[in-house]
Amino acid sequence: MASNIHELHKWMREHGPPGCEFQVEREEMLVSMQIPPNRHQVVRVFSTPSRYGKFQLLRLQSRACVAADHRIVSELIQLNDATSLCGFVLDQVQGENVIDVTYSFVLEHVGFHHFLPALQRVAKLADDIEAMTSGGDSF
Amino acid sequence: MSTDLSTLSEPISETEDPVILHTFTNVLCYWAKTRPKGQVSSLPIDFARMIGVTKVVRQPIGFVRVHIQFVDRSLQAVQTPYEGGGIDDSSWPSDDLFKLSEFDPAIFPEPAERTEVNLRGREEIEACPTCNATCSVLCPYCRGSTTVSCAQCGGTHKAQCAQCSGAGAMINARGRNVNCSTCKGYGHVTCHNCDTSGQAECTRCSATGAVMCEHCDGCGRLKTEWKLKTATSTVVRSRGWMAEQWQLPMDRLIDDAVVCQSWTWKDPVGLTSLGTDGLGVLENFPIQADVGRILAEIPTSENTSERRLTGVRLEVLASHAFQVGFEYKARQYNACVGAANDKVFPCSMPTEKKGALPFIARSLNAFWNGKPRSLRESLSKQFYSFAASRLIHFSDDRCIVPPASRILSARLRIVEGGYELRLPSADPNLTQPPFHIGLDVDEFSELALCTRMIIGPAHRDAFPKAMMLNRQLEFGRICVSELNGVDTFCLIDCRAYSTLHEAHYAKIIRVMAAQLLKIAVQSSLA
Repeated sequence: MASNIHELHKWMREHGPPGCEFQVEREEMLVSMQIPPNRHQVVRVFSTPSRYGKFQLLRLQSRACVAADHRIVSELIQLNDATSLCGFVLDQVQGENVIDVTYSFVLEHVGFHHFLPALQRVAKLADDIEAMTSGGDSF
Repeated sequence: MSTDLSTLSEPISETEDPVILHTFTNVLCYWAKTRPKGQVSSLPIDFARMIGVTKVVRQPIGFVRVHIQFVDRSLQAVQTPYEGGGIDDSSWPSDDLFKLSEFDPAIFPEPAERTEVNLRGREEIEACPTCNATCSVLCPYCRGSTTVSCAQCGGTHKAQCAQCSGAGAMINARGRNVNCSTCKGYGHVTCHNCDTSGQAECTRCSATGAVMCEHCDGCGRLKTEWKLKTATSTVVRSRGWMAEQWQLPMDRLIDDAVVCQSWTWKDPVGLTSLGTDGLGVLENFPIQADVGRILAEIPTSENTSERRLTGVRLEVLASHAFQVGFEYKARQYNACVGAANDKVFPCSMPTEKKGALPFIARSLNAFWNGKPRSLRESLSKQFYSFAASRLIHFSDDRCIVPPASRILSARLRIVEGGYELRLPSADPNLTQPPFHIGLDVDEFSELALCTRMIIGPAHRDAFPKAMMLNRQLEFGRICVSELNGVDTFCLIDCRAYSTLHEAHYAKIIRVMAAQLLKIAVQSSLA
């Protein structure tokens, strides 16, 4: 079980997949992951207190694309019903609508072996959407 | 399960869906572990740990059940003392016992019901045959002699002395033994209850030699009235139908089947036309032939003056059964499972072998059973406990949902594919929407637990707003699902089943409920 981001970082450095790069600052970690064959995806891992209970949340967030039009929002909200684990979120960053893939755990209940598959699935889904929409590899 | 007749025309279907195979593996494991002790010895000891379901075939099963009501009637004469007054000697409207009082021809009681009614009319007065209308009979105690042997002295005319209790002697004030002054040392005195021959007056008849006749209560005459006795009983006959003949005891499945349609005939005359009126809806169903056969077997002509067939109820019921193919040590076996209560009927089963090698296998099995559950794939005691109370879905073999619902004091109901969970509401007038919890295999072939709450109808204009709201959610996301052909906003959370435990899941449920409330209050989505 993890109790903070630093423990997750330590575990990831020792047991994580090869090619991962980490940037840790306070209760936040940016993990840059290799997505075979030759793409990459950054996942933000951070911890926040829950507004509904006395526990910490461990949240995973990865940017998928810029929401260029209404159509992509319609498609992704319907895709939210079909995806397992993670879901799509519409956010506004510097006046631009963006789509993120998110997932969360109760921090005290996260086993290291559960964290890694979730991290990989968030990264893969976000990268798939990015590849399908812009075709680039910016995030 | 659908309860209309179309259920019966569903095709036989086969599946290798991992969730269904997983669920039926648990059903068989549970069955093997909970068999009565006398039957367990035939199964290998590691049966529950080693089996894996490989194929499940489902077929609908139809039943025809006929309830036939018989009414038996009889008359009973009842005689009571007649103290005078009017009598009703009018004749009955009919000699037919079934026309003397009304009865419900089609209630089909199980077990049989018995009733009695008093009939008016045909009352008669007659002299009491016991006392010949004299109102009294010979006293059975003194036989008319007016005296009996004295009960106090036993007919000896000598009563025990009350002063010395029959000893004849007493200890005086100086401690000396002296003769009793009352009986003069004899120990008895003359009995004052009887005469010198030891005979006393008979107290039962007050020495008259006769007592009141109990049969007529001293009236001398009896009134005869009539009681009509009715016994209503039901005979049940049933017949099962399935397209493919599986080794299933149909009589054990019918209790779990659902009634799709029923017809009732009350008129005994009309019973002769059974099988014609109103049964046209069965025309397209293979069960129709069985309906005809079972109706033809009804004994409509067996009526007598005391027994009558009064009603028939025909029911068509539907259920379904599964044939489960499973593997045990690289060999194929199969069993049948009844639909509603997961009753298992073994068709071909592995059996325990005797000898050295099975002994070693049993020892290894005992070793494995002592290991933590992460090292073996058998079901926990908690699972058996919940399964015995029918509180757990057979796919939920890590016992996540029922304990989580206990933590939340929630109401949990097992439904097809998972659960329906309702949290307690602080306001009794406010109904909490239920959580629909399903167990399914995701695109990575991993078992996932999906928790869903319905928010409300989804309009396209609100899609961006809903997607923005997702940013604020701690667990789950808002999605658009098509429910009954209507786009609906739902709050859904899916996570790998293997990563969950009860306290974790209880927190997720609690947060989802709070989030839904917030969505309802702060936004126009709900």
